[in-house]
Amino acid sequence: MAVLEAGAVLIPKVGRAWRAWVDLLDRREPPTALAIVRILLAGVLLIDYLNVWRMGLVEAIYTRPPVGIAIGEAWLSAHAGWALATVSLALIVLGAATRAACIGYVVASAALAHLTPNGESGLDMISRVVFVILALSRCNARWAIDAWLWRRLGRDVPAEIPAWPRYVLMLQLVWIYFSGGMNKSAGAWGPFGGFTALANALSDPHAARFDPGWVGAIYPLTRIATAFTMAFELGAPLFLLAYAKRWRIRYAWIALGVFFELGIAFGLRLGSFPYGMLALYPVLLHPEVYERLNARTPLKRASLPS
Amino acid sequence: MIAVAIGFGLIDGCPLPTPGHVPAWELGIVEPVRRVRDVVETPVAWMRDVFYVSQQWSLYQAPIAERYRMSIEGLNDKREWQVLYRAGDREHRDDAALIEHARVWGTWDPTSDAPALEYHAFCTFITQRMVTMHPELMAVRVRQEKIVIGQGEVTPTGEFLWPCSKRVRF
Repeated sequence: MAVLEAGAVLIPKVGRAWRAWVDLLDRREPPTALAIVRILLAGVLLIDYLNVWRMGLVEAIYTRPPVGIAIGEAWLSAHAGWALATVSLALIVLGAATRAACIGYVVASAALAHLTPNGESGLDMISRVVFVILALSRCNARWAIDAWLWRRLGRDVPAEIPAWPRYVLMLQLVWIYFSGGMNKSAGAWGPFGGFTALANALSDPHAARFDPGWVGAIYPLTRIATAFTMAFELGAPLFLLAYAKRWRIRYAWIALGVFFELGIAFGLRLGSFPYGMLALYPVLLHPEVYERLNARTPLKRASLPS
Repeated sequence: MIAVAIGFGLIDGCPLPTPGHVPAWELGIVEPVRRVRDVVETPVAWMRDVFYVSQQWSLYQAPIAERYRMSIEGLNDKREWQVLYRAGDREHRDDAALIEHARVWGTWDPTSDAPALEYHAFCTFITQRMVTMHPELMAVRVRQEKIVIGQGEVTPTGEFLWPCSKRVRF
């Protein structure tokens, strides 16, 4: 009897929750944020891949010894993988055949990861997830050759697209930080290790951009920054609450993230990783922010009645 | 579908210690949870292997004080080892642009207690490259010296790990 009563209470609640979930995923919004992420992330990676080629490292990184340092095997050779990834990224930036290009990039990037697993950073893995989501989205409905072509062919270019891919990307970004925080197992990240992790990283001859001498001068600051980093990462799920409730504190979390990534870019030699992470940040803003920014552009201001 | 994908992602991201690095007192909890996770993930496990993706993010996991410093040395005709490249050393920068490139760095940078998967491939490659750059050398070797980092200072310990070398001539 008690079970039946509990069921009678629970089932309508689950039903309401499911309807709210479906309503959330049915929302539509302008494609601005996803278009920006598409262009920025693909742009950052494109520069990275072109830099590998400019330095003559394609063979060195993705071929087996003695020619290179690869250890694995994949369905694409070094040059084929690099070429497919680079062409796909260029097409994604331009928004041309965007969906096919996103999948092309994921296939090529995964092949290169099989050849040299440690030849990639976390950003490559993140990009393989992000471009699959972008392939399922209408991120090519703005600032894209696809959209221009649709107009020329007389097809509708939607002013609003499904918002769920942006929500999933936002959840992904928040999860990356939260999971990163949970997996920071070394004592140096916590109070028992004296919050020394950032000072250690900035002094590590393998990763540091500068001589470690300057770290001693700002040692207490690095400990505070380590504590803030942990608070930022472990507090990431609270951002989702702040976003949903539209609390202004969410901008503080975003600002902390920007400082965190810029700090990494300044102090450590981690390649395109921090820039790629920042390229995802546009998904953290409500669509109205872009509408407001758009209304402030000189062209729009001129067209407004005085 | 979206809910299912998110669900699998969260299950995959369950924060479990790497096998072999689980403290004894956690074994009774962690290993059963890992087995359940692996069973639940069976339908999508192929994606992780084929596309090299995971939802367990470990970004700069363990910047501990006991680290390593790689050096590459060449044996000259006086039978003395001369430093060609040393990490974080402005005086010895042979081929530094390649060695320190963000897509190469991870192949020789050790974790807290083990060399990278590609370390031996990197050694074979870089010793050959150094021999080509310096044909006068009799041998080239790569080593990782244990160091201790503290308050902006790096203290070498004199203990070298994972040496590998290429001998050109005797």
